Amino acid sequence: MDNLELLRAVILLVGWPLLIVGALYIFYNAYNFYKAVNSTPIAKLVPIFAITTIITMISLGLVSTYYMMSDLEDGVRHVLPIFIIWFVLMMLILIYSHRMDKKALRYNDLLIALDRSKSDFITISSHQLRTPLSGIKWITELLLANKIIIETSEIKEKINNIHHSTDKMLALISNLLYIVKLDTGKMVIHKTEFDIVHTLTSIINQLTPNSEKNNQTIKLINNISQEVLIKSDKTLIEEIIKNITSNAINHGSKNSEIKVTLGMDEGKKNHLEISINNQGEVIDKHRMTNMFERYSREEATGSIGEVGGLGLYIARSFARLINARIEVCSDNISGTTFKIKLH
Amino acid sequence: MQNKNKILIIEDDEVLQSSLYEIISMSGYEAIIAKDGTGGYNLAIREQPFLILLDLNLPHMYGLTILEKIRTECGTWGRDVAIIIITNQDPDNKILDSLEKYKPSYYLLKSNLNLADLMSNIKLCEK
Repeated sequence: MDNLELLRAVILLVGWPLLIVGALYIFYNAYNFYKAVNSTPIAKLVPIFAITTIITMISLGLVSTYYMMSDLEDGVRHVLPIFIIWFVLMMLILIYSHRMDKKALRYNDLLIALDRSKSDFITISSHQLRTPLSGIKWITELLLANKIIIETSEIKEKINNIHHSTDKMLALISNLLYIVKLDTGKMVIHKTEFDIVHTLTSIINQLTPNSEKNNQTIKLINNISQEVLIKSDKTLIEEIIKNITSNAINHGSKNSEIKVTLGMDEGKKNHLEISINNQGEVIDKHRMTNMFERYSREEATGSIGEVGGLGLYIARSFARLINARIEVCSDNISGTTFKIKLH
Repeated sequence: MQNKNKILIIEDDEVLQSSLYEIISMSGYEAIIAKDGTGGYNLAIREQPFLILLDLNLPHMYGLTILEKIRTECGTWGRDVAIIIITNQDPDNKILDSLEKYKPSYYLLKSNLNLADLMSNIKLCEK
């Protein structure tokens, strides 16, 4: 084997593996980049750019190989400089990207630490806020139990407003704490046996003062029996029902009825279904897909302050944690119905 | 000997403490107050109330330690006394383990709690 043949063998043996590694590297990075930007217009360009680059690289490899195989002397003479440039370029890219990866990891750690600080800040401040707010709430309750105040309707109304606003603020703080727990994966699931009828009655009693402000009534329709024992996480189920019923109150028409129905799932007979129905504006398909998003404008419209655009997001996230499903249907005749299917 | 009409409030926040004291007194019970964990535990042993309202984040002794000590170191009274935990701390695994072991009557979040509901829970403990 003379020198030219040896050189060609080296170019082919080093060039092709390097070309394959390069193609895979471009594919991998393009895929990651696509995932990061897939909601932006630039996303469409990423696969086009990656595929074009890979095809050009492979074509160049094939043409060079064919050229060197058909004409050893000219082929090696012309391909060698291209091969050297290609080799140096690949090495530079690999070294540079390794440094960038290290830097990215450092930034990532920093971002994780910052995110943890943010979560800790929300958790600690929320817990600290809960105590004085509970104090205000309890004092207003004591004032409302005072005979002199009950007889003075103007003062009574003002104290009622303080009580209502404090309750809203406490609900908002609870929602913020739930969001942090969902984000950090710290939501604890604790299953106990409890009576769902009692839970529904208690939630309706809690939410009745809010519905009365809109002249709405909340009616419980129980299609099963007086007591229905289920084993699940009581707090999560309470929050799901509370958030969806609050949403029904906020979006329901004035002077209407909100129906909370307990029955069996029509599709799966041994599974429970709680449906919450309100009359009011019909929800179109676009709003239906957006309403479960965090800080949803769709949800917040008309209900800002009650749940801060977090209620339905929390309801859906909690439903996922206990393998429950939430379905929504909305039309002019039967109004809007949220079905919570408990498995 | 358990005191059938006495309720001990172990709570360090003065506003919450006085609200609890007022609603309990208004409902015809005798309320006694402790402002910290150690004081609360000692008062519980001395007065032997029929019910304890127990906060968790207390100075000097953590609420769950008080729960454990009452259940394990205070004889028949300690095993039988009704304990209602009222806190602003959402239960984590450590708290859930403790609740499972030392069985308080209720675990109530102050932020979700109305005083009227608290009194209904106290009445249920009386039975």
